[in-house]
Amino acid sequence: MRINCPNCGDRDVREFHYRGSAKLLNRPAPDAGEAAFVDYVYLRENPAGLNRELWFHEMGCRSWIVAQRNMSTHEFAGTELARNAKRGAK
Amino acid sequence: MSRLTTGGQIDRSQKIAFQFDGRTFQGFKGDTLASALLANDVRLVGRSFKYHRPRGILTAGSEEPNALMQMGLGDQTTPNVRATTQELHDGLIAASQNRFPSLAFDLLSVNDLMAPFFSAGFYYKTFMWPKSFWEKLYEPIIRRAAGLGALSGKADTALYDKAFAFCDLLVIGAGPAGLMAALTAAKGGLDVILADEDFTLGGRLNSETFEIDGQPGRDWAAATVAELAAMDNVRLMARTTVTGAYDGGTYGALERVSHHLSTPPKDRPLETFWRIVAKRAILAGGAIERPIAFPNNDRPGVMMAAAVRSYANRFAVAPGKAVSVFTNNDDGHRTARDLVALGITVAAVIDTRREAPYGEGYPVLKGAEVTDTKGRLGLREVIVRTESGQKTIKTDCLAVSGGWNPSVHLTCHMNGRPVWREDIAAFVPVENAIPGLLTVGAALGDFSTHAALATGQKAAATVLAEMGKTTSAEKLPKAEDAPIALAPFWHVKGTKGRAWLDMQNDVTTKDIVLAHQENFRSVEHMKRYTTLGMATDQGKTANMGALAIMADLTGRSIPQTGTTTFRPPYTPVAMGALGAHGAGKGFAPERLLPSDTVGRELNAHFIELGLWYRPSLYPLAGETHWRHTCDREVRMVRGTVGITDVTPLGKIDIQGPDAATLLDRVYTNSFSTLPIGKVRYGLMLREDGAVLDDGTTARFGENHYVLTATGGAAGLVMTHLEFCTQVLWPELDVSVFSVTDQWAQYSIAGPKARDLVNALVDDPVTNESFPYMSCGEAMIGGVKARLFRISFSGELGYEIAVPARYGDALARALGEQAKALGGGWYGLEALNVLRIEKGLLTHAEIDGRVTPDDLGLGKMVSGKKDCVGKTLSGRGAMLAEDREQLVALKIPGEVNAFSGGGHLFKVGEKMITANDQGHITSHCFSPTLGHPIALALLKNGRARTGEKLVMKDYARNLEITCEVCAPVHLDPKGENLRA
Amino acid sequence: MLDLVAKSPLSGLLSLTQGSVALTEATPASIISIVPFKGRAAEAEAALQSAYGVGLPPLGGVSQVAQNRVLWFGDGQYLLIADRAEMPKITEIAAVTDQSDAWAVMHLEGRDAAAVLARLCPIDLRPEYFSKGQTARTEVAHMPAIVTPTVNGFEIMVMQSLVKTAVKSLHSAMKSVAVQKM
Repeated sequence: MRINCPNCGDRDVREFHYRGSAKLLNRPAPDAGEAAFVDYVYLRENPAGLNRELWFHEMGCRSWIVAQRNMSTHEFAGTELARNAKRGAK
Repeated sequence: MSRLTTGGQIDRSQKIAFQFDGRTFQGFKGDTLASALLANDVRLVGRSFKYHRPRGILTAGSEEPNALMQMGLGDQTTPNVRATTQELHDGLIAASQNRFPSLAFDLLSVNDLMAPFFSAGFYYKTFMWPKSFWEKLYEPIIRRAAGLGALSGKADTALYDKAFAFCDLLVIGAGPAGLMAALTAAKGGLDVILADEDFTLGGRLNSETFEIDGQPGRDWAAATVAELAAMDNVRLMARTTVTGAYDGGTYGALERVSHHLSTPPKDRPLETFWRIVAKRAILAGGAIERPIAFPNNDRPGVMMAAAVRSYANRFAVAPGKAVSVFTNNDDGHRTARDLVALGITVAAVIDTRREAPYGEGYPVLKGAEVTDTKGRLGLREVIVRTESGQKTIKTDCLAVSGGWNPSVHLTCHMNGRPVWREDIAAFVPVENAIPGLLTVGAALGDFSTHAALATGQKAAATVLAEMGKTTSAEKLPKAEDAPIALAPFWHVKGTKGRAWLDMQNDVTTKDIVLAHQENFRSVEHMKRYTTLGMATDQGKTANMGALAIMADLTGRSIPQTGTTTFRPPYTPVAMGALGAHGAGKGFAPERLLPSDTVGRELNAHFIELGLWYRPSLYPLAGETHWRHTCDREVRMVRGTVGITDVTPLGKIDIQGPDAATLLDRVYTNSFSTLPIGKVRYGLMLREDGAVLDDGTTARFGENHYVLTATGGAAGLVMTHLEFCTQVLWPELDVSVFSVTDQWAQYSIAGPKARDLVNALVDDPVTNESFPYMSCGEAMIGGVKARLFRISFSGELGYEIAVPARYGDALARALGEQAKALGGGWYGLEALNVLRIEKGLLTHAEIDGRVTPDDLGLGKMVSGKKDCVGKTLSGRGAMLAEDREQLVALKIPGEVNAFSGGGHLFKVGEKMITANDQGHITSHCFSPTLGHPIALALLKNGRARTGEKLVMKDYARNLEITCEVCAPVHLDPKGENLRA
Repeated sequence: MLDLVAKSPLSGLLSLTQGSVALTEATPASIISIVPFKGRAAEAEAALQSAYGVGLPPLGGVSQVAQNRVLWFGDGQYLLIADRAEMPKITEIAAVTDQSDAWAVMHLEGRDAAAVLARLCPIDLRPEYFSKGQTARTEVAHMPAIVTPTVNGFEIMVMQSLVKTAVKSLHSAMKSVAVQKM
């Protein structure tokens, strides 16, 4: 699998670490309460299609990347740096 | 000898001597092992998997199911090598497989007589009970009786390599289609890799008598290969099988680098496994001829018709003295014509079609079928059913052609399902089954040479256009364009006796019938029930026949019946090749301490922790047991002074206006309040509330901290901090940078630690000038160092860090000064004892499940601010009374030891999981206290001080009684630390 | 009087030659990481320009004037490779750490240098895609590495603690390529 790092370009998947849903961008407010954090930490969608997810270019530029990946075909529809990615509702 | 006197692509001037089953034979350069064996009239080359039937060479390619060889001797043995792809070389040693005591006389061929008992599903039904018999009786017998090659049982000493390659276009297969595609693309300016499993590029052109542009096809191929070889933008990879297609244009390929060499030079790898990344790929993998099933069709001498042409045309071998052909298509007649042209007798062409062509110098039996074969260890005659009755034909080679199956395998590797093409009665690849891959030529079902050249050229033009290049107007070379003339015919009906489908796994047409009867009718069920297609050849010559029979039985069409899934690798790949560079110490990089050389000079024992190699003990002369050394080192630290290399601690430099804010958010406790020049112990959580790591962080400036992480968790903590700064709070103006490798860092501990420090630093420190938990800079030997007053032993402690290049020199200076003070080096064993005596944590306790409260550190979670994990660490269940909490254990007055991982039970209770009270996380003998101590996680442990418990370790069969005590065994007020 | 003597992590390991390829030790003056704080990149660049004559490189790039170089290292992160003594005081505008001892620097050079590196490094090393003026953070033999094309090969930087394994791996690859190019 190849992943297009917004900094480094097309790289082999071995350089990356997968972290799961990009939902982690939206950390609840400190006072949001237990239910909000449980949802944030544990509950995930499992779409048979595009998934917005986090990859870490660990053996490269060490940037966290938000990718749109089709979970059925493994095709990537786009990547961006997590620090620039849109927060809040999808 | 069956070698023809002229012709073929062999070099008769280069004779090659080789061994097969202990006998010496001779072949020529250009031979495969299979062609050389046939040239020497060796027809019987193996015994079959289950029934030990005599088997010969069926094909001339990598699809070969029968002619599997054990190559080489000793630890260089490779089992299951296809004789049909093994290049002949001087001194080659091959042995047949699965026979005892010899190939011609195999005792286990009695299995064949017991065939009725060995049909599909036999194992499942017969060896079901009693259960205990399986391991001791059934399996060893089956393992002995059935099977293919054997492993040497020794470590493989061969060298394997791996490599990455990139190209614009990967062309898979160097037959006419692949060569044409590669040539067109290369002339258009693309960076091309052309890979083919054969050692001579050209594909079927080497085995056929076709002409291209008026010259023999093989000459055109050789000229084209030469033209490609001269181009800078082309990489030709012969002996290289593309084994798998993966996501993103990545292909796996196995290059056989040295299998064809008698004595490969030192350092030359046996094989190289390539990862090829290609923007586009063209699959020109050709097609595989398929057999027809008829009784006793597995006898040595029965071969594929195209293979017969290969042996005759390419290797100049007459596969028989009187060859007959059994065919359902015109290709079979091509075999007969080629043989006649070479002067080889063709006994008959048995054509299933009533409208078969007339023979050109050979008799044709139209509308005829082979119903049986005779000959004990090799074919002697075939029995033919014709419209005018049964005939017996004396023949020692039967060439069979049931048509061709396009090599769709790679196109299935990403879930592509091939589609049925009625005119050729075969499955062909669907478009875009592998993104970026186009299929051409015979792999697409276009079998003529003209079609191969035309589709190859067209696909390359498509790729060129897509990549913004132009195609030069090259004329397409002229070649034959014979139409496909075939009447589907899969197996001879109305016969007795077993007709083989999968020769490698010994599956017959009857097994398919049985699968159907027992309702294993889905292709995937049928495959698993009969094991058809599950041998090392993945049923390349078997699957279609089985599919056709199942279709017949169920009254469905073949496409309705379905096709099996082909998975990588296309042909077997040695584990050694996949694990290239990973043998022995190649498995993981080694991280060495700045004091590595010093440790080795002192004969320290090293252990691997994380990737670091760290001394566990520095034994002195006369110390015969590790405990002697460990206990001495512990007493040394407690009595005088000890030094150890703590460089592996993760050192993370944090700078920026928001440095303090970041630390407040990742640590449970506050760091914005830490004064400059001070160090504080911190606890870091995961968002789910479990402890991630602990460690100290020093503040060197208003906006400058240096955080230390546990050695083994340094990478994890760095990643976590980068997650926090990039994903959670990118608005923070802070930089996180690893300086772990920049600094060599040593810990100095013991009552005389300050004396040692002051012996080295330019400006001595006092307890007042540099109190407990201070940090600052110091000059040592002309080098600017960092000094910390921290301790992981409970003793007066310092850590000194210098730029790594001075690490060796500082280690030597420290060692010398420590010795002068009566101290010295201590290793990880002693370090562990020292910290257990003080109840200090490592990742034995921070096991990924514990919360701050479990560790008795609940108060470290600040109520004044948020931090990662705060909310969820406060969940009711995370604070419940019956959670396992950190305690210490002791065994007063007993000499027995604790056991790491031993479980704790109430005295008198049955020691079962339901009664489990917790477990030992760390343990040691405390030379300071004189008895064994341990740290443990114990249910509601803090409330159980003084309670007696039983520790049981079932693995080591150890049982002791112990007592719960407070986690800190020594100096609970920390007076030594502050002295 | 104590005098600490420096020791290179590569001492005793290099140079190595196999076939057309040589692996040698490089000894850059100093390596300093520079991460400008938010909105301060221009100031940091100006400071570097006046001290060393080099600016900040683009993504994946190297800026170089004489022996002074700045390597792109990551998002908003740079490595200055130049004499530490000339370093302007920029700690108010950028995070600065000394990395001079953190990295071991080697040159892998010769006709088949790319073929050697391709055995250990998963990036596209073809000169059309990766040549002088560029740099990449990637892995070499599963170790984090900085790979920078030179005129005749590559500069390879690995963490100093890992250098023995790196040399061993590179040497094996050099031998494999050399024997196959014979």
